Amino acid sequence: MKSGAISAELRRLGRAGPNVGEMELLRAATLSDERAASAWRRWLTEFDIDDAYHRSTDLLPMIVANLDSDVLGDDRGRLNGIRRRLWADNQFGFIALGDAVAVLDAAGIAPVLAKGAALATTVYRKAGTRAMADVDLIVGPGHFDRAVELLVAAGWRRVDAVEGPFFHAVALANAQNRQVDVHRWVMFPRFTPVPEQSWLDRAVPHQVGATHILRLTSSDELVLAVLHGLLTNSSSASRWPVDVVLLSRAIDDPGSFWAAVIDAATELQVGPVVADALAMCAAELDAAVPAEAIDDLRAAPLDRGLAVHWALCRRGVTLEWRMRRYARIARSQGRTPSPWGYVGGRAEALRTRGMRSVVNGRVARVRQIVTDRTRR
Amino acid sequence: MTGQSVCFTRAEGVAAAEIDGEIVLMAPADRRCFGLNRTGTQVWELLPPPDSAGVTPDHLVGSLMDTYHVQQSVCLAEVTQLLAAMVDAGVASPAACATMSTDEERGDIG
Repeated sequence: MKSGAISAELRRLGRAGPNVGEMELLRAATLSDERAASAWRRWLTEFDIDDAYHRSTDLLPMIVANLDSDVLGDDRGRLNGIRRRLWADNQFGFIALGDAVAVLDAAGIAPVLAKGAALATTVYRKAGTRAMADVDLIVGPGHFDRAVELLVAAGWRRVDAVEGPFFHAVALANAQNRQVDVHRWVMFPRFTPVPEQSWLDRAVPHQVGATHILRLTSSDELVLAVLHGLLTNSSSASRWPVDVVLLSRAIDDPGSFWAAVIDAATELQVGPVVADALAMCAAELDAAVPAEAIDDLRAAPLDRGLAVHWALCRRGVTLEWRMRRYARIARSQGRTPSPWGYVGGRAEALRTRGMRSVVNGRVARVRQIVTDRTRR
Repeated sequence: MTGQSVCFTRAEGVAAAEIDGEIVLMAPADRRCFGLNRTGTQVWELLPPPDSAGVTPDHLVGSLMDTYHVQQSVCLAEVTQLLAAMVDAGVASPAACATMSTDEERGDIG
């Protein structure tokens, strides 16, 4: 793959994948030879560090940790300053994590850590290289309401105006405005047709500072990174390729790891989407992904609803699919979905949160989408 | 602080990381962050962990003199000043001294 060119694997991701500028930064952050330096120089000819969109600046700490100082030149000091700032920000996140886990632990709830905080403390071996906007804790549907109640009683406040009854997580912030997302499930019912109970069952012990906690296995974390990165149109969606590359390079037993990835993706009926993502990371970023694993994932089943969502994401359209979420929840609970069931849930959300918060949430979402569409 | 009779360790609960060859620290009490330069980084790396026997400024100076060509008295003054600042910041603590030989106590090592 010639550096700077666009591979078929990248084109396949369409608007859901990184844009041209982000791709150069991803190369600079993950490749190990002159290709990384060339990518960084190309990015600098088109962009300015001071004006970069935050999906790009999120990658700068990883780049300064990856490139030699002679390549970075005069930017080295400033970029290391960004990296130190990121490290400090993450420490505040870890403190919030410890505070939240202490509240939940005292009530006998054992949360499972996922995404940024888990990755930053496992596969990101260099300090201050993984940006994380918040901390994600999965408590499962059985503990969800109680966990939110406990945290609110301990002084945390709900911050997200758009969360509703069919969403998988709720955002809470502490007095220092550090955010923890408490999840019912990992991604269900947003992207997956079945709850990821098995992911919680096989979570492994982990430690962040003095906090003992469970975290998702690395193979589940890889599937999550891909789906969250590709399917959300999220403002943080530039980080997932680095997550994939580092996860793929940290594997002790490749045979077991890739078998676990294939099993997890098959169970959730997301295999072909994961295949597309891994193929790009292997072709463009030297991720250590065996071709057979990609072939197996591509041959795995794809949920019909997700197939539609993925096709739209590749064209830059990301829908919330509230009715689909409702129907999936109802079925997972042994109930038959009905129009009244959906309307009842929505009406209750409007009653408890008020129209203003709903409208404000929609406006914020549209603004984010417009910003993403018009950014360089 | 005399440098002769007080020993030091890292403080309990300090978050620390190496970034581009230099240490960054977050104090547990007020969560302020500090960056150490190369010399400060070396001092930090020589400080024992919390709940260990501490080291004297003289001991640190002995190790630093292996790296830097500087007068011992100047080095001792600067290390003493740095340790005082680190204690004030809550990232280092006075501690019981390790049992050392007389030569080590005098800073004659190295």
